[in-house]
Amino acid sequence: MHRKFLIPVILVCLFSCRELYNDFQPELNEEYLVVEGMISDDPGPYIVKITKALPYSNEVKLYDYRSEPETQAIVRILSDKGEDVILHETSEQSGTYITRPEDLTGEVGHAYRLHIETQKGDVYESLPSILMEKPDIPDLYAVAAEKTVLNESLPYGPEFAKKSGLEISCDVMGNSMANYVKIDNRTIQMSLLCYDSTFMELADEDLVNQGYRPLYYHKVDTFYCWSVGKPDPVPNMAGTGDQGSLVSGIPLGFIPQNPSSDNAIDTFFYTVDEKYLVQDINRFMDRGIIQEIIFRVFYSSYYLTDIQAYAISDTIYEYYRNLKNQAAASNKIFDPIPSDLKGNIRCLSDPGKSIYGIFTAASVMKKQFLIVWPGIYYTPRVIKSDVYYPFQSSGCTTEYPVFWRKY
Amino acid sequence: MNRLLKNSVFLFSFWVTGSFSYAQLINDNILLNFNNEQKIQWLEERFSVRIFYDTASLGKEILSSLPSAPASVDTALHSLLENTELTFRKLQDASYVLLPAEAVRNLTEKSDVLLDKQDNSVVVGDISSYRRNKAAVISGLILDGKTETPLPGAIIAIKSLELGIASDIKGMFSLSLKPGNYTVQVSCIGYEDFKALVKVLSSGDLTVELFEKSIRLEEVSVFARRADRNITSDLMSLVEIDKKSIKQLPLITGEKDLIRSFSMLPGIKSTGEFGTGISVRGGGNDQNLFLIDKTPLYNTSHVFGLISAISPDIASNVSLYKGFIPAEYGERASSVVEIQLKRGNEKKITANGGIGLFSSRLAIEGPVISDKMSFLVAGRSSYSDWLLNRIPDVQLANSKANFYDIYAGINSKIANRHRLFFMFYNSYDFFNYDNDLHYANKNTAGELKWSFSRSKTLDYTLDISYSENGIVKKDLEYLSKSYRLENSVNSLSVKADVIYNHNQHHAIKFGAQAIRYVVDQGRQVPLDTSSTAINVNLETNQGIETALYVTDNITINPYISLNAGLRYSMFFNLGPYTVNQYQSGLPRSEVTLLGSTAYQNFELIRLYHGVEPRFSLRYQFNSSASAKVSYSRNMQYLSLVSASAVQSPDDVWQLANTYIKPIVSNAVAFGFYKNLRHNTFETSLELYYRSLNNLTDYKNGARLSIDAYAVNFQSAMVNMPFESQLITATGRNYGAEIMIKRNQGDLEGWIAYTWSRSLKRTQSDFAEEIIRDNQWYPSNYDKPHDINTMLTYHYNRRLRFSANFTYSTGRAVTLPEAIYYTENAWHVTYRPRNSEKLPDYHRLDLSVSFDESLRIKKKWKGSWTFSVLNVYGRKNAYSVFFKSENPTKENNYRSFGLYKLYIIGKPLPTLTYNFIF
Repeated sequence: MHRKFLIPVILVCLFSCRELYNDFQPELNEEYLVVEGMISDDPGPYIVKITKALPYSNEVKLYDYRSEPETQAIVRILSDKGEDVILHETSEQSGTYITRPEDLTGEVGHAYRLHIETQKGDVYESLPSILMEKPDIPDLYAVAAEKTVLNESLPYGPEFAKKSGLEISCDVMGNSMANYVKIDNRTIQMSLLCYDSTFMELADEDLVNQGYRPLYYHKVDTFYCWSVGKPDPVPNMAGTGDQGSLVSGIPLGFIPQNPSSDNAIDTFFYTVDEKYLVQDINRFMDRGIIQEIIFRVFYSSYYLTDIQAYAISDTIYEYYRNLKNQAAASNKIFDPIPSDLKGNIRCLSDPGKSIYGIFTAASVMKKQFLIVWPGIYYTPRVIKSDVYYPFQSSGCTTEYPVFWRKY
Repeated sequence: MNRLLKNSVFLFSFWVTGSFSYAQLINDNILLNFNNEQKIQWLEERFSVRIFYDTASLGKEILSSLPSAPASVDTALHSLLENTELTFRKLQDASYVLLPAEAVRNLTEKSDVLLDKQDNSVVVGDISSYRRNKAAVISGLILDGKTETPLPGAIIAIKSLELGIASDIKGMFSLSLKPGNYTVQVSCIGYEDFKALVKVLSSGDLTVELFEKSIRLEEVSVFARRADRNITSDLMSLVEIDKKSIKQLPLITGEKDLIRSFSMLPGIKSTGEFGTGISVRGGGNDQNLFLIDKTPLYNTSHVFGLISAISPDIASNVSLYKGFIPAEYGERASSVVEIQLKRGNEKKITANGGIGLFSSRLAIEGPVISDKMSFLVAGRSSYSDWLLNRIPDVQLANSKANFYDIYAGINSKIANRHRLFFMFYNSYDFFNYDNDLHYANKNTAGELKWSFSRSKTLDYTLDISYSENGIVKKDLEYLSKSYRLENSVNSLSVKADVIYNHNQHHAIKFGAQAIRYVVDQGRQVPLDTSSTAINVNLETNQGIETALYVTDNITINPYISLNAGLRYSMFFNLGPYTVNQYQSGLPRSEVTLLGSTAYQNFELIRLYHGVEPRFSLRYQFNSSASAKVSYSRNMQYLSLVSASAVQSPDDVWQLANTYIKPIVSNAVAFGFYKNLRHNTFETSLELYYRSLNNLTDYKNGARLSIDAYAVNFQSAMVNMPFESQLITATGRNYGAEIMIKRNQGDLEGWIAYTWSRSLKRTQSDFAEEIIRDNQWYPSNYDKPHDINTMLTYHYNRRLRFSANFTYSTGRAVTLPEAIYYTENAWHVTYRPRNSEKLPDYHRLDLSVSFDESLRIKKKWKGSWTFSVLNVYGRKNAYSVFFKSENPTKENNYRSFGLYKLYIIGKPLPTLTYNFIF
């Protein structure tokens, strides 16, 4: 119940108050682990991150806190085929354990489980998770919309502003035994800015009358820029139900049109060299009688949406659903019902000991769609890519992407 | 064996045949073939008497048949003259005369008047029917002589017969006596005894008016209607507060509180520290049916539970059925609270009221037409703003908190034995906090009741009632998120009841009821063009509940009595409404939503129905001890979906529909009752077990706001897809209640202890729908131990001291466990649902009351009460809430805060002045 709704009670009694509730101390005396791991049918390496949770306390200060990694643990992935692969802790990032690509590749139809033995001797193991057949993503939809969004990146504080952009959604075909799919998606926005200048030779009218054709000079200065949409902290999900059923219109989010919007984590520019001339420019320049007669600017936007759909079990779905809902809490009266965020990992050496996080075994379907949309007054056009061009899951390079030339 | 059987059949056949043959012989010889004179002659010979008559008068009549074997000449004459205009008088031992009945009646009335004046006796019945029948049925009515209102619970005693009964809730009683003279004594708590010689001639009416005592009550029994009612009543788990007891309710924040007072009794717990929401034997607040007269009330409190929405000035009697619920009541699973309303003084205008620091109240009643029509108007209003403005806190100084309630009732005798009652009730709550959060709650109720006593034994009642509750909430904290949200629920009920009182040992009640519910799920409107709040207009859902019931209340013998009933209810969930469709074989959620089906107006969407048997059986060992057992099955088609135990504005009423099934409750209870020292002490032990099916609970992480629904379900949402956030659970509540009460003497009061559990369990195969691994977990109302003591010491007739101590285990809550970083963000994880308890709750209140003057003739009477709540200033947690915070120097760079909120953390003195004139 939100505090404000108790205000009248407070007002009337004048003797009421709130105070920090310190009577409760969770029994979290030991260092409890947080696991984030996954295996898919993509080639490895597979990564498992192990950190430590903090016991809840009113005195927790997170503004300068980094979660402590669990180092020097023995981390293994075991399969029902008898595979037993040890993951190695990376030297770059403590508490992060990876497989070597040649050691293990997930196969559809087989069950995998994570086994962890800590330095202190605690043994944890995840429930077997079957890598189920991957789903399909037959279509993506984009609808032009206007939405008020919060821009938190402004120096003078967050501000709401109305933005035009795209509401995107997709279809998923449940081709596996999995009841649910987890959908990660990122969208790269690409802008094409064209300065189109046309110059014409100022030829004598007599010459023209005699059949002389004035020469034209056509120059295009083109700038590309692209931004990377900030991925949601928690992915979207959908239930696929019966095998082969199509789930339509799974919402993936809102993509603002302006690349410098709050949704962008980085923006890059690329200037296209002058590439071509209609005629031999040098010849006309020498004559010194060229006149600019047309100047046009073209602006166009493209969006590349990258979708990765994982076939997940209902246990994994429930974990992510709770995580997502809990992340939406805003200290308001309608905050989600609190819940425990325990995943599918248990402590074998001490069954009463909590461990958080999830080990996911999921086959993945990856698709990319190009959306051509110049602006709010145009209808977006979605083009399905036959080829998947992987790009970094976070951040960008200054090199313009390889798929760019495709379109 | 076969031979024995054959012989038995033969003997039985012989007995039946023989009996009929004998009766036929008598009838043939005496009744069928004789004329009037022959019948008289036969009587003279049979009983050796002389009967005189006027042949002309006799010739006009047809004498009836005779009993097969008349025991006396009186009996025979009664039978003979039954259908005639004749009666008889005995002249001498062996002489009778037949006379016209009308002449005798006139003569009798005159002589009765004389008789009354001479010996203060009361005559019941008609002399013309005197001793015509062996038994005369007296239909009595006990009234308050001042207000002419019925007095329930008055005791009617005839010492010579060692007979005593109590008046019912309408102040009525029925006695079957042989014609004759009896000394009848009528007594009622707080009233002068009535004692008179009653001459019973035949069946008839007896109306007794009692007048208030001018001295302090000797029997100050707060919750007893009669001294041994807990022993003799066949109803178990019934708590009652009568009109006189209401006067003695403890004052909290300067107000007597009808509903909250129940929470001092075993098995009934307050849902918040001072909340008027009550949990009865582990049930939710929405499982209690609150009736003002016959009208349901959806919001029973002001200021989020601090004060009852019903002023004590308008109530004459309050009953709470916490276990066994008679079949005439339905609609809810756990309990029924019925508040009988005062009908207004038919003789003269009176008023009473009270003045407190935060609110005042006034009630005026009187006749519109003397002895025909009366009215009662009452109102309360708060005025706390002046206090807020004096608080050295800008936000509080900019806040407002007000409420009012008004009531008007008219009661009329429209014709002989016809009564019409009309009432209107309206309440309004409003507050805003620092001008950024506005909340308003409005209750409206009305009722029209016609009652007709067709005969001494047959009563009809037709009742039409309407009740509505609406909520408006405005959030203006940030203009960019501002919105207005409103929703409402209303019901229109038509109920017809028939009561047949066969005699004082046997009564049958039956009736029918139809209720139309309309739940407006509401609409959300952004309050600013820049607001991100979504504009949503949700559909209205409607349903009709119908019920037939019959109940039989019978005293089988002095030891055993039974109240058995059957109720059959049906519920029609009707369009227009759009029902969401989800993928089969998966839990309902936004990710399994397939589409929707639209239903037309009054098109049937879903039908539920069921039989609800009820019974309560009493075995009385002796005058001071009895045992009772009861069973009740209840179905509830309208429930409140709530995320917390305490009353909250986000609670939403929901009808049974495609996905939400009606709550089904099966409750059994056993009780043993023993009174000591002539009812000075009452002791009781009750054991109960209640199973509940189709309870709703929220999924882990359920999203509650319209915005969340709209985002997840896309903006095309036209109804609130609650079903996607709810899970179905079963429940079981069980416990033992012990109570020791002292009813008389200078020191009165009780000690009550309850041990109970209230548990829930999900039964699903899907992780999304599983709470705590499908094991039993505590509900929001689980408080295993509960102790209440309430003691009153009467120093003298006007001065009394009271002490009230309460202790209970803290209620179950869900608290945070750990903080961890994953998926690029910090997350807080919680302990399993309701796995923790708030700290134990205990509080001591003391009060001293100086009651009004005892002089009857004094017109203005005032009383003072000074009380101190929470004497030792314990900060009992009302609720615990969690919030993430922005680290600042002010909060010691805290990232999260777990807070407890307490209502009264210090000793709180109050002073109240009440008056009557």
